[in-house]
Amino acid sequence: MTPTAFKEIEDPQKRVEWLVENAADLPAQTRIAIQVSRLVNQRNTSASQVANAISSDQVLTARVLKMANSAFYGAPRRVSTLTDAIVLLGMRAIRDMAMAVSCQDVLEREVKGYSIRRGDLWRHSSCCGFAAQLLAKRARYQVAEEAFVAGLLHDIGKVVISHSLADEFVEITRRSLEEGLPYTEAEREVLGFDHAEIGARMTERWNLPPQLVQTIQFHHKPSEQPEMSPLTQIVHLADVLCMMLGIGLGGDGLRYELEAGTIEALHLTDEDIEFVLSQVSEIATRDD
Amino acid sequence: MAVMTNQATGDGISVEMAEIKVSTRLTDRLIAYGLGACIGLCVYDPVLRIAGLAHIVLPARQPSPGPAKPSNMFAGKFADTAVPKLVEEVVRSGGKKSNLVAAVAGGAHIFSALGGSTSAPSRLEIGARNVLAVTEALEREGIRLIAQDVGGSHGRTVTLKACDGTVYIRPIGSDEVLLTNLGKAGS
Repeated sequence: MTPTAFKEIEDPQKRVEWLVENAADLPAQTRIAIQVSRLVNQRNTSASQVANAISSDQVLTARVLKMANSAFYGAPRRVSTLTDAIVLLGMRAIRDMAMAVSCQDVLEREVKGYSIRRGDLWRHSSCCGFAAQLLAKRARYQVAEEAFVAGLLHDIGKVVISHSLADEFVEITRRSLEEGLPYTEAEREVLGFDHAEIGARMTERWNLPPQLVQTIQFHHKPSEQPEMSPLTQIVHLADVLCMMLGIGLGGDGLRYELEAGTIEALHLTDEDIEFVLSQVSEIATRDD
Repeated sequence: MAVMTNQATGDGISVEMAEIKVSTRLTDRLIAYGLGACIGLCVYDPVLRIAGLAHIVLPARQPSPGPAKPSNMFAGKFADTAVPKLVEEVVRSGGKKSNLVAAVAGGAHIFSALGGSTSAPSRLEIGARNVLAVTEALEREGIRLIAQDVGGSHGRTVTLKACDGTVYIRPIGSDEVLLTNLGKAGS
């Protein structure tokens, strides 16, 4: 089916199915990252097993090492091998890095429909992962690493929508501005679905864990998730904070709502929020 | 290095979050990209043609700021300290404090009922609090605020041209527009 024929599909659910069916496959490096994730989550996995899995892909290895030496992680000294990185930063940190860098190619693209410049969605996503991890620690959420990955992938649906439906964004933006709608509502009015839903269906197809899929689906409306999830609230808040910092903003700007009660539900204070804003601002430098 | 006086390179110079940059080179343009709730504070000496820009993140340092940072790192992060620091840097580069004029951009808010009130902003309205903190700090320094483009729920990029003090705003996804000409403000 051509994109023109796609636009003739009227049923929004069928449009979602078409988009997901025709979206790119899971990047090969992400497959390895998922494999690494499984290894790390098993008992008795050794550092060398994790290092071996990652080193099956040279580009992935180089990227993990680059990230291990970046301001994100602040290793106490220069890290030159995977084993070194695991010893210094821990297996879980390496698992998250592998997941992060494996998605970099997809997230680094220009996202035309949203007027997001090349590299900016990656900046937004990686900072959101970092912010989510900080918030998770402050909120005493037990698995802060999950928050990192969820923060990283929350907007992956934007890439797919923008690629297939670039023309519709003039109308989405117009409705959001003129009718005073949050951007996701304008997306639903024009397309019949929003970027969060597409992201969820994509990651479901990639067999990512259900909790992660749900977090992506409800990251703009945590209260609509059937079972309330602190992870979704954390990613929702992290996303809002990164928008407030202007990180990777597109034409949709800050036209998203912060759900009332999110901060209170996570038992966070205004000081926690300012602390996270302050920390994220320090690592969010541009590469260009 | 967060406080930098640029004399070596020309053209577009990005001012990152929490940075302060000053330029005496007439071909330079100081640029703060993608401001959300942050503030791009432009300060200009129209007589001596010296330009400074701070990319301010938060209104004021918290009582417990965390681990101590070297004094010049992130000098532009907090409005209460960034404004005097920016003025100091412009003067250090040869500007005269009594000549200085300013323009402010940014201070956007998350889309919701927030941001429209006329009373004092709540703590989470970082954009509105930033605008207030910068305005007050400029008053304390005796710097005249000539123009501002603040609020709303969109991102914007602000550019200050060192040659003539013109300040341009580009709302993300739209075309660039002239906000003001600080070079003519003193006359």
